[in-house]
Amino acid sequence: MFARVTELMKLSVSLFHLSRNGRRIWKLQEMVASGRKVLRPSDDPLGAMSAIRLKGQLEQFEQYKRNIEFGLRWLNYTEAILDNLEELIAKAKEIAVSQASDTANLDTRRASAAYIRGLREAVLQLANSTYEGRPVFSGLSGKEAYSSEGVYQGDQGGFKIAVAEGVLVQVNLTGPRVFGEGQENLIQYLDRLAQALETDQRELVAQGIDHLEGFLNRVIEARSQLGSWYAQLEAYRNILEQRSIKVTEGLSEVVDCDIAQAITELSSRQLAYEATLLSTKRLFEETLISFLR
Amino acid sequence: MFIWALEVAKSALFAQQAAIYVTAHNIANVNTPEYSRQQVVLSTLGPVNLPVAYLGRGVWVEEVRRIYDRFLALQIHYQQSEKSFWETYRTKLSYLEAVLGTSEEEGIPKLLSDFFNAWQDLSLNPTGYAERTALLAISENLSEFIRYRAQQLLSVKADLSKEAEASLRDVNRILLELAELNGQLRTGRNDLFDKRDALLRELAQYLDFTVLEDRLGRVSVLVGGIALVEGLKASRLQVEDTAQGLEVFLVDSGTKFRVTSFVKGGKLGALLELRNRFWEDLKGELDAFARTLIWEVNRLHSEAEGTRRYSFIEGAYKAADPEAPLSQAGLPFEVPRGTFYINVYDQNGEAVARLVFDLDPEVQSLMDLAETLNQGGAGYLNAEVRDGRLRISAQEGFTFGFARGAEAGEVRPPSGVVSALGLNCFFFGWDASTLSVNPTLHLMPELLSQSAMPASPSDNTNALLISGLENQKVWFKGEGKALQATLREYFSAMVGSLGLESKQAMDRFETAEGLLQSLETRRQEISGVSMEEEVINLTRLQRSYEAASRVVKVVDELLETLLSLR
Repeated sequence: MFARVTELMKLSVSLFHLSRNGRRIWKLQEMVASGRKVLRPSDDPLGAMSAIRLKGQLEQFEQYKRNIEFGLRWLNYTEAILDNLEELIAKAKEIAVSQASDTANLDTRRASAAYIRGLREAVLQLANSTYEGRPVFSGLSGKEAYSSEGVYQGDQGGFKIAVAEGVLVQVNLTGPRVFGEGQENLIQYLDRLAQALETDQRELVAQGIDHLEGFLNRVIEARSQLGSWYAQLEAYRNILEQRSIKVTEGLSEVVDCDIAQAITELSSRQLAYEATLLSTKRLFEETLISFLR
Repeated sequence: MFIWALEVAKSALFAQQAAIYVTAHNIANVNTPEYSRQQVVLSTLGPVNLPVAYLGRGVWVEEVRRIYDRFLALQIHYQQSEKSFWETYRTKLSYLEAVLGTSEEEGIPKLLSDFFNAWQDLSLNPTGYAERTALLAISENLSEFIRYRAQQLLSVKADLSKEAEASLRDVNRILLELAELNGQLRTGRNDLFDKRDALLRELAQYLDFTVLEDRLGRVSVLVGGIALVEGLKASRLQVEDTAQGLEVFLVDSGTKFRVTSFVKGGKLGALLELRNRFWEDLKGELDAFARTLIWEVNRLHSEAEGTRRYSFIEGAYKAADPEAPLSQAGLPFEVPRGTFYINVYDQNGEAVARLVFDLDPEVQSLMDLAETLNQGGAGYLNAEVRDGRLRISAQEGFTFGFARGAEAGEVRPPSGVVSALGLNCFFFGWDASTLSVNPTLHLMPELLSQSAMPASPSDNTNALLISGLENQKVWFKGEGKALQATLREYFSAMVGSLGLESKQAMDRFETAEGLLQSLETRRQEISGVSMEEEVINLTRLQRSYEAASRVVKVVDELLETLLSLR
């Protein structure tokens, strides 16, 4: 203990503790007001570091989710095209079946040829579909997939999107894969079928049933491929969803302030502060001089 | 004998008066921070031999003593410079923290996420225009943010120098005053000793020193064994911004020598430490961060194509000596040895040629490279060097783009040659202060290289590779050190160590402040004025004075009695 208590000592000790307490109260006040316990790196250097990393991860997850949403929209769109295509091929097949039969004659075949040419135009239009201005079936070439003669102008490039760190999923089908390779593609085949109908070649029309069946199978195969990509994207979306929750929790643990605890601490510190103020006041009120009057 | 008694009473009256005077002085200085209380030392006057006996002659003021602990004062000086050091350190660091150490929600970490995400947005729509302008706007934000931080760091550096200069002006004034005071110090001039201590303490706020005191109380102030004040002579300190950092010189009758390494502790020590070590480190780290960002993005960007091709391009980096081998040509980035490709397209956008170029930076100069390009690209390209920069232009009807090697559809890593020459770069510059986005891209966003394969505008491979940089560990090279980390990890480590240092400074400051406070309390306990004590003393002295007066009165009465004897 002190041997002598002097005037300046009383003052400076009180002031010292008041300012220290004041600083702590201010800090708590800041925490409660902002809801964060890490307001600047020095509040918790390691916490600030991991917060930066966790937040970066979250931002990436959000982007991956956006990528997946885009991929799903793209796949849905492709799926819709293939659905239409399947119908068109089925119609062509119906015609081939009916026109290969004995009841058909040159007249019906000529009339059907026109119908098939109509289907061919519809198929060409589907093959040249664009999504948000981009050709769907031309690979990475950026060109229209098929010329009006039904020649493929694209390339074999796979369009991939990033769905997780280091994971790319392809989402595009190239023209040949859906419509058939080289000259054996659906568009050019429909041309030949129309020609066979016009020239009344029953044999060729009958073969067309199998051919069209083959094209149908190709589309079904393509649709199943779309399905598996779709499932892949959905799986990654679920994984991302779960990871986002975990990382958000982690981030909150690092930076968010426990308001209840902070307020409790704040009020106890405030009490101490007020007590110091009161006792300091008393300290200066009571001196010997007041008794010597 | 009565006469003697009167003399004794007189001495008592004088002594009590002196003591009251000292008490008044104490009370008057109750709030003077550096004041040391004074105490009257009374002692008896030697006896005289009277016929009756040896009788005392009363009292005299032997000394007015200053109550003070010399060693405590030394400790206080030391602790004062410790506290001032950490106070300055802490204040500056928390400012730097505000400059650089943003939270995870904003600043560089946020912009970095935005930047890489914008590349992914482009990967979703590789031919999109809106995605390109968005990416460029975000990149502009990022580079401007980093550039602005670098600028703020530079102004912090200037402030540190200015503050050191201002501090030295104070120091020099104190040194002069101390030397002057040395001429006036004598034993018993208590208040001058207080003034001396106050000056020493003020000095301790600026730097740490050693004090030697002679018999008369005159002080010599030494820093690292060199006297700043000796007797009546004071030296002058001077600060200079040199290439090696901020240096402090001692100027002494025409000679000048460096004392930087001796200046420790106090505000000045903190300013020197901050400026010469901390600031340099921090700036180096920010520069390394920007440099790696520039290099890694450019390396991928340069050897790839956008949806539009070049008809003319000029290198962003200038070779100081276009005739020297490229490794010594003074380019900001080291030119690696490697192979790069130039794809040439005709008017219809069809690829007509794939030109291959090998570069050996140890042998070929920029001029040689231009020559090689002219030969290899004959009929398609013209190359020349103007003002230390490589210029390539396509001949009429052709355009060209850059590419890297590819094997079986898989793109190989870029050689880095094209970006080192500053061709088809995404970022310009080489450190935090020079970082900017290639202005040509703002004019023609289609030049943004998202495709790693020739003639494939819908290819997004390059955009994916660049966005993949976010998770890739890359090399950071600074002064004499190199480490591998992702850009985000590197930045967060930078913020973390800044935060850690700032936190330590805060803790050290609190400790130093606490210690100084307890020493100060101890000093006040010894040297401070206690009102109670003084009031009691005053009462006591008043009574003593009254008693002595009473003695005079009694003697007077006795003398009267004596004189009235008839």
